[in-house]
Amino acid sequence: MHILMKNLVVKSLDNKTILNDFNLNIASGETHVIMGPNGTGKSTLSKTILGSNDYTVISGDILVDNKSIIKMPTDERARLGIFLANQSPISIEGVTNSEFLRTALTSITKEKVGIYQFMKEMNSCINDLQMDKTMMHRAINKDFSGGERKKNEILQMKILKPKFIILDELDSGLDVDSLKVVCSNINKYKEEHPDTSILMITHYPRILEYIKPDFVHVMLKGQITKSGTKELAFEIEKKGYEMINAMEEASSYE
Amino acid sequence: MQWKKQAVMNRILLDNNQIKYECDDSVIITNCKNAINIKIFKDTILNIWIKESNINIEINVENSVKLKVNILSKNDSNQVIYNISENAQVITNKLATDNNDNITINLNGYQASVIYNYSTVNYKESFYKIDVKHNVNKTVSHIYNYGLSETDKKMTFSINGYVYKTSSQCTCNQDNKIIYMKENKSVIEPNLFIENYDVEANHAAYIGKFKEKDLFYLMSRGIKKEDCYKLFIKSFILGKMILEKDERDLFEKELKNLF
Repeated sequence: MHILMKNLVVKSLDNKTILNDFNLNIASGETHVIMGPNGTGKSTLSKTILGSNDYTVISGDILVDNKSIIKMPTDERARLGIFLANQSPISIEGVTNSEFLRTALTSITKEKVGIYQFMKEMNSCINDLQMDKTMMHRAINKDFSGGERKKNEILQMKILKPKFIILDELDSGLDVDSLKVVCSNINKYKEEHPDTSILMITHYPRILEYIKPDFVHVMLKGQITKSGTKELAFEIEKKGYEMINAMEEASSYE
Repeated sequence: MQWKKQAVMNRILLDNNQIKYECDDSVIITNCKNAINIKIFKDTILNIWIKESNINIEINVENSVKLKVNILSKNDSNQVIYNISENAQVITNKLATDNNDNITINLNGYQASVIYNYSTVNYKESFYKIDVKHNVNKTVSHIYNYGLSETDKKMTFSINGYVYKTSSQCTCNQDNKIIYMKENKSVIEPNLFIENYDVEANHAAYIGKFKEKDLFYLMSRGIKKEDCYKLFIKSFILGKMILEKDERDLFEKELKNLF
């Protein structure tokens, strides 16, 4: 899936500009990483792509395979194949994981999903992610640890088979072993669906040891200020965002 | 509502003030005009279907008996009294529509306990009152009251827990929520009248809409808004209920008929 974000200006409900002339082009099958300090608009970007009512797009556009999605409601964007693995997945009391996912799958495929086939696939995904089997009958993320919640997001990804995946701070709340399991599932998914594009938001380059990016971008004050390859992530870790930004400003002044 | 084939035999149907019942030897029923008295002698499940009736019900649970009562009720104004004896345990699951209920639970015996799950869907203005009376020591109540107001009509919950001076080491908990689909002036009065010092007592009350962030989460998985609400309503209404599969199927069917 090809995603193009053009001159996006986005405000929060309290009228603060968060994304300020944001531009990013993700070609089909590419993996991009955005890094940046807290409060720079990374999570706003992910929710804006999914059409959250918490933000208003003032100008600019988001094109998916050359088609604007800016006026589409959230569910329609998801049915196109956009998937957000949330930074802090919420819990919803009473709605079981299996019921929720089967409803979602029915909406996406527009076909009635047979219970036997669905349970078989869910069991297989649960095994892949080394999760507790009882989770499918429990309420969405209820009493799940931080790591289980993140795994549950990836479980949903595997079942719903999106074409554009946004991973918002996937590594937070995951221990080293769980991170390996989750990343190997994402890599396997990518191998099986090579046209899938990924946008990964992270603070730490550690995750890039497991998921190889094509591009790394630095985001500051609501826009991308520098782009590069994986090495940029390690440079950021060594020098910090301010130094990278100062160097970028100096070079553009020269 | 019609008679359904049930796994258990104890069924009472109150339809337009007519009383019909089919019970085994764990239950004795006496009825007169507009009143029914039910005595429970053995562990059992009792299914009560009530439709457009105005009948007072008294349920007496004998010592050490475990009783589960499943109630589906529509357009009713019933007064229901539970008298729960020593070591007896009662679980009630009630799904009501447009009711005006007046419930009294008397925890009369040592270590008597009740879990009362009440869910209601209302289109008209309604008033629901429940009094839970801890009359002796070590009695336990967990009362969950969930209302879904589909229109702008006011829903009132008056939820009262009483622990008297003479009742020691009791647990008296209540959790109350009203979700409205259209703005209205619904009210919850979550009252705890506690006269003793060694009591565990909690109350919570919430009136509002379903959460936007929950809606966003479900919609971000491709589920249409109206289907998200169906999932929310089902989880809100049936989430706390303690039901076996066949019982849940019946409650779900009843709920489906409403939306």
